[in-house]
Amino acid sequence: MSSSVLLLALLALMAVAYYAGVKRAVSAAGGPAGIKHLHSLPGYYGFYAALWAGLPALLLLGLWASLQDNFVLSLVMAQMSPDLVSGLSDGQLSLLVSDIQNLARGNIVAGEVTPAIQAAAADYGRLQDLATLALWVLALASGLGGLTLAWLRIAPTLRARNRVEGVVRVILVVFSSIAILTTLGILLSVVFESLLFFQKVSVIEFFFGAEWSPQIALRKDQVGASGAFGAVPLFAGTLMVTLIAMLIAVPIGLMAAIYLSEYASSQVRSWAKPILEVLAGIPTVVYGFFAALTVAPLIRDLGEGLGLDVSSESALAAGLVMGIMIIPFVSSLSDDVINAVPQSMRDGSYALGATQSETMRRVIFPAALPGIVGGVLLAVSRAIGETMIVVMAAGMSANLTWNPLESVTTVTVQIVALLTGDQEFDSPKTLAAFALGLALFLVTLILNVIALHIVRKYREQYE
Amino acid sequence: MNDVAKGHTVQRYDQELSQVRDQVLAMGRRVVEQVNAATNALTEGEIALARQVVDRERQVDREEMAVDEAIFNIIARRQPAAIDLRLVMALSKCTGYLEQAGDKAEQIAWCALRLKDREGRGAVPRTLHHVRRLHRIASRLLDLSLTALADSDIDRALDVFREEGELEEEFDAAMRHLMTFVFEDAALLGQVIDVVFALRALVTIGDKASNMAEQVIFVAKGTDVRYRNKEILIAALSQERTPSADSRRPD
Amino acid sequence: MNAIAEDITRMTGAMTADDLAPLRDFSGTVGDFTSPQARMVCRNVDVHYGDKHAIKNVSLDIGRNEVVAMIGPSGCGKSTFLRCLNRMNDTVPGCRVRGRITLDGQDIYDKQQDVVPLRAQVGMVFQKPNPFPKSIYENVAYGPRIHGLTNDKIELDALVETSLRKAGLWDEVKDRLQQPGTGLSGGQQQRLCIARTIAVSPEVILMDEPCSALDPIATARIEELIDELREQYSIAIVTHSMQQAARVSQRTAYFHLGDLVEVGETSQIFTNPSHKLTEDYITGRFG
Repeated sequence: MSSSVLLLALLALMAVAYYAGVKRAVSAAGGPAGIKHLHSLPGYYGFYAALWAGLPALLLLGLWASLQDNFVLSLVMAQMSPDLVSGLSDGQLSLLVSDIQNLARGNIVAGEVTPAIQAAAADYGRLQDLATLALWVLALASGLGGLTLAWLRIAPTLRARNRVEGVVRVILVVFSSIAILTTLGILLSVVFESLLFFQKVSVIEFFFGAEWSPQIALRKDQVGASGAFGAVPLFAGTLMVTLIAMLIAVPIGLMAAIYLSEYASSQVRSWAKPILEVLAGIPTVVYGFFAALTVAPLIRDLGEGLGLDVSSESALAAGLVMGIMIIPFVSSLSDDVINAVPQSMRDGSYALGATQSETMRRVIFPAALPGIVGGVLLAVSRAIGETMIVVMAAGMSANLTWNPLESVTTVTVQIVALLTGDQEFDSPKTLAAFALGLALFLVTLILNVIALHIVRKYREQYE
Repeated sequence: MNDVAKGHTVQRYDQELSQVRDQVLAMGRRVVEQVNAATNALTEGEIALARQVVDRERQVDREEMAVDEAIFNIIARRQPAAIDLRLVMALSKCTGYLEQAGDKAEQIAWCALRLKDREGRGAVPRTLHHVRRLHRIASRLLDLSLTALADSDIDRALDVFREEGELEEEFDAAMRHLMTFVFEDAALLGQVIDVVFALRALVTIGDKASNMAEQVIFVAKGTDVRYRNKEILIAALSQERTPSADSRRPD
Repeated sequence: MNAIAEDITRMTGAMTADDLAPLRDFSGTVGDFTSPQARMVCRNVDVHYGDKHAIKNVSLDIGRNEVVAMIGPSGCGKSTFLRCLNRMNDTVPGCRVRGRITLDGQDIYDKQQDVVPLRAQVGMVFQKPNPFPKSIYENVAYGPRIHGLTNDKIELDALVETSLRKAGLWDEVKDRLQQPGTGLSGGQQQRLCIARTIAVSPEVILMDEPCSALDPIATARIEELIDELREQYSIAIVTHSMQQAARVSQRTAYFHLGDLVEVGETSQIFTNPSHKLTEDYITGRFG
């Protein structure tokens, strides 16, 4: 609570500093008429002062907030008698610490309240108050100090714009690196967990084993406690579903794109394109139950009519619906690259007496092909990573089969299955999810890199 | 677009054209002065004036070169077309004509000097009124053609064509008269030849004025009227212009 | 106003803004719009884009072995007119063409007329060089392939070579026919586009500002090429460069706000145009 008040106070201080900086700059230049003698516009001097007043104090606040608790705790723990602390495991120690904190905040305490703990809690509360007070004093002092410093420094020759822009640049770099570091963090955590997994299950078995049965006995006498981690059926299932999806999405999406960009009148385009894009806006869970409840039974009935044995959760149903979901993805990407082929190409072709379809086949499509391939690869990586439809429609059994009418399972489905329900976080079963995630991540990453490379190469051709 | 009639989009181009024309006109005024001075030197026997004319001929030459350079620059940098091209070409030709007229003025000055040398007392006074008469015609033609050039005035140019016939008539009359002197006294032959030279020079000056008038027509009409029958030309052009604006021409 | 400007205005006839904008007293084209050996004959052509009257009653011939240059300020309709000649305006929505345009006596806007053979007969070269993103060879072979002009690879090779030779590009590209046409320089690309057009043996070649994206040297090569091509083809060229029109054409047509104001021998148009508007445009008094 108190730090949010402090934050508000600092923001107010920055606002004051801004106005003070502007005033100071204008008066240093000799009134409004002298503004042209300033190196930068007065606003930059305002920002300069505000940054001096706010930035150090805000950094201090952030640093303090992240360190205060640990620091105070370590002080408290150091004062406690060693016999109370020694011999406690990590878990017990953290229980003790939370007891102290809860007591200090007046919450309900889990353990027994001994006088020692009571004293520690009082100590803790006192130190916390002290630290907060110190934070206030230091933050405000640095804010005012910064303001004073800026006030003294502001002169017509001060290169305020360059300074402010430099600081803004640093801030932008910090924020953009947060996004990159997050990705990196996810990758690293997946890699580390996967390494743990590969300590328990060999890499060869994982990538080449044909049997997937991740059940591990919680009790020794449980049935089916084998735990086989051969991921090939999952990869095969993923591949099949993706293949079916692309077989649906690529021709339909491409044809739609060609029609919309080359043949359709602008009226048709104006309503057909948004409708197609609505497909992209439907939540995948809706596709999922559409696949499971409508398409799968339909295919089963159809198959039975033809005398085929169709499982009620088939790869075909999942792939079919996933294909439909990806159509707008393929069509809008293809539409973009087809439209990016300059009109002059079409004119050149028409002027030679080519018809519209000849122009399309011989000039536009070849010219757009790299971009279309890039778009399809992006769609593939999307299909591989798709979860909800396959969870609902493809089934859970890890079949190694080429028959699309049977039930298969995919990498994403298995990750979901491995991580839902009560889990032990250090069993191979759970860790297998990370290994699967790593494999998935690598495949989609490679596909994306290739696709982006192709798309970029293609763009350069016309720019 | 509304300012179409206000000259070139590039105003500097207008200035350059204007400047060249002013240069040519200034040169024309100098040539007129030279002709007048040379004729005066001859008729009044003023040696100093004749020497002055000879000296100032260099200036005319320099002016010609300056005009040529300016025209050269305009052609190189502006690539004039249509009426601008015709104007520039015409100005270039007019400079040449003026330079030739200037040379003739110098020639008259030399005649004045030679006559002075030969007789010590000037030319036979009785022959000089021919020089005055011819000078009057030639300088009027020069004036008319310069005015025509200055105002781009076709009517003045036509006036030049109307009056240029008087040159040859006057010259023929003068020749007939001068011959009688030679028959009377062969010793006057030298003097008479000098006077004839001066007369011929004045006729040439008048011809140059007529040439300049042709260029004025070329600029305005786009047709080259050199070596054309001038009477037909006058008839054609006057007729074309009668309905519009000829309040200032009495005939 | 400058004295000389006044004089010239007086000599060429007084103009007011009224004379210019709608050309109220426009009484037909000045000069002879016919050609003794006409290949394309256009009579009373009107073009409308929706409500806009883009071309107003234009009649113009394009003769054998001649280059007709079309000049005029932006928006004067010269490009629109050019695109009528091979029906490139067909694809423009809301564009209506009236009047009669014939190619060797055949009405090109006739219902029986198919645009495919028409465009093979009337080729077009565009403002910006637009080679297809294919090899140099394939660029030239494109037209012959779609029209089925050759029977086998040997004939096609020969046709590609002659077309490139005619376009003056053969010596520069004969060793790299399989490399992409987009890798050539701007001037070479434009000559490749001309070769591509020649390959379908047209009778008329339309050029829409073919040099506006090129440097002076490349421009000079194209102009030289145009002069050579005149031996075999009729050429209509739209250009913004009056000097270019003066250099390459035999006849020049001046368009103004959709009207064909004046047509004539190029030498006459550039030394002594008859219409005040032509004079003003050529001498740089507006535009």
